[in-house]
Amino acid sequence: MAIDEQIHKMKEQISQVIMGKDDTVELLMNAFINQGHVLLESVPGTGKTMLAKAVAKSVEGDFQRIQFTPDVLPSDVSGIQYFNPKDQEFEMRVGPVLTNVLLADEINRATPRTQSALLEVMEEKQVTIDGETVGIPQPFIVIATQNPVESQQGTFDLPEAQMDRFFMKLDLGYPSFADEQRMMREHRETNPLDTLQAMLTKDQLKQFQEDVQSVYVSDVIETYILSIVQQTRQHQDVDVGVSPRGTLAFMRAAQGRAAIQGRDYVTPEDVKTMAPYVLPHRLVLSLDGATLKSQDDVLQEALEAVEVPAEYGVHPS
Amino acid sequence: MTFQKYSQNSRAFPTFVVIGTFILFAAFFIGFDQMYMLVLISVLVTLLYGMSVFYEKHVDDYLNITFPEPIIKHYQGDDGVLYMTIAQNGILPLLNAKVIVEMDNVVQFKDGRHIPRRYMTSYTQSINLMFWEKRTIAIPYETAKRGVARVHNVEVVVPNMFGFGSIFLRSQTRFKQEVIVYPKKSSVPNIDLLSPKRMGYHRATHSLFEDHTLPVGTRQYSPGDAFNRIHWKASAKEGELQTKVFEKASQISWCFLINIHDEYGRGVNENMELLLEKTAYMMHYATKHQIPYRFFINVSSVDQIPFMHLLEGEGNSHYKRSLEILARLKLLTFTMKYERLLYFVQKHESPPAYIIQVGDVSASQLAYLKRLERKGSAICFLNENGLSHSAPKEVAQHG
Repeated sequence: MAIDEQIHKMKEQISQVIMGKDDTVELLMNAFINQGHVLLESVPGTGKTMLAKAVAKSVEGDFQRIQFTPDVLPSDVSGIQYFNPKDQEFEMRVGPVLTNVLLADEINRATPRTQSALLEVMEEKQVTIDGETVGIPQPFIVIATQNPVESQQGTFDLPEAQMDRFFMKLDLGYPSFADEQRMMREHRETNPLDTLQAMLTKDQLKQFQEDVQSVYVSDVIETYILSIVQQTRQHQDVDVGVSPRGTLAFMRAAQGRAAIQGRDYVTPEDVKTMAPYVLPHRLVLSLDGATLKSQDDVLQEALEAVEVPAEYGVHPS
Repeated sequence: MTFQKYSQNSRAFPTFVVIGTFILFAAFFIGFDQMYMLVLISVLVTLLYGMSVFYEKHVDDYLNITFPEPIIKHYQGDDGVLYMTIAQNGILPLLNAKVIVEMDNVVQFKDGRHIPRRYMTSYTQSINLMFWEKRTIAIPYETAKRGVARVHNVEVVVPNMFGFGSIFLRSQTRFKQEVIVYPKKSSVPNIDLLSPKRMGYHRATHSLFEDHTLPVGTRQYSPGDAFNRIHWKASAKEGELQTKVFEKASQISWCFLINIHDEYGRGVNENMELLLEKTAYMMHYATKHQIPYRFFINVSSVDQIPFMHLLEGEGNSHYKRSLEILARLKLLTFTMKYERLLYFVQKHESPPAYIIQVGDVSASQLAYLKRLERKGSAICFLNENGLSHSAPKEVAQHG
């Protein structure tokens, strides 16, 4: 089955649980087929955890959840070597990261030290415990949720290095009037989450990943992507711009969108559409810049400053 | 969107209608030959009048005015542009109309009119809007002073159809549009007075205090460790008792106490704007050096803490919030006796490492500060020249 058909089917299934979030589901699937980690940020009660669980259930594989609190230790995430008195030997017990889909719920409630325990596993898909490195089975995807930091006491900003490891940051927002009404009706008697079935197998996911990698990115599109990235680095209100890892993620996200739309080539529209989900969380604004603008504002300015490449035949030259 | 509507009618049209009706009746009675012409003209005039009344009644039915960017932020002295979108979603066009926007004089519209009596700035723009048309008007402005400027009035003046009078449409919608102008930062040359314990953040290597929200790990239990510090999960994993180890934290923080009254406690301190600029500079410095801070201002607030305040915090978002509160501070407002604020801080707040007194202080107020000093806080006074460890001379003499 083609990617676009499969994604459409998954969107239909997940829309029984989370209403009116088709675009978000599509973005999540884009991250999945790129093996990218996703940060869901929204105010409480908008269905972040529910969406993460619904997506995890729709994909074949193991699922683990860590509920982050201030007293979760790094070893609770990665694992420990413990002494087994029966065998008189140290034994390795890998933490909940040994899974396919990891839900890191309320990630910003843990201390930065504990949050950092995910750094290695998110980037290198391996975990090192007391000098011993263990590989994590593929696919491995982290779906983290957090409430906006500004309105919270007792929360800790995610370290920049970790933010950069998130492929996308998505904001759920409130549902529309009609969607919320539908939600009230659907959730009146049953929990639709219980009825979800795994629809995407590991083999399919692997195949889709290969398909996405083969989506054509022309020189013009490459230049367009790089120009936007350069623009974020040169912006007067930015201390740290988009990293090279961010550039790769940006390209892959555009490829993913093209594949989901049923195309085998990337258009400027794909690039422009994916930018607000892939880039802003990677920007570190200057102190004065942060008081005047948000990361989204800065990205918007960067996008406006870069000329969008015209299609061949339309360009005057 | 609702408008308060009133019209200023030209008297020419009703006069014209009355005279026309009179001629029509007169012609009917005297048996005028070209009667059908007069009837035709009278029908035409009645039709025009009807259309004019219809236009006046319904011109605003589908008229909509919005400000696409709800909050704009600036530092004092910056220039900006306010965008306003006006859309006629109905079929009645607005020809030769005028749009008038009024805002607080925290900003000054370029090419606008200053209304000092109402503390407003006004901008007028001519506009033609056809049916189902939307236009965005860009209104350039410069920021005049610290504060928050809101849109208080948007009025559209439309000439009535055929030019007989004008229709005034005053928007009754309360716009959420705000232009927040942060205070300037005025340097405090001797800010180093507060720096000895600053470096290294408030998480310290050597400190008697611990932050119980920041566990760093566990260690082997040793006799004397409190029962509630045993990490049971880790103990089970290790097979022996483990004690939680927390991050060492030193008690470094700043607390700004801002008195907006003058030395007699009646009027407003004439140098308050400069002092707020210096306070903003110090907050910027604190954020840069990761020093947590809080502040209290003796301006009434409907909150659990009855003063304008910001509880302790650090980081960019805390600094942003601080600047926003300073921008929203109105000096001519309901204030509270400064002694009440000092009493509150003394009773309810944990003593910070440094208290920075901003503004005038009387002898009786100084006594409260001395009590805070005895609780372990170092006191500094922020005045026009910068920081000092001692109170102004005249107060010290009285004290």
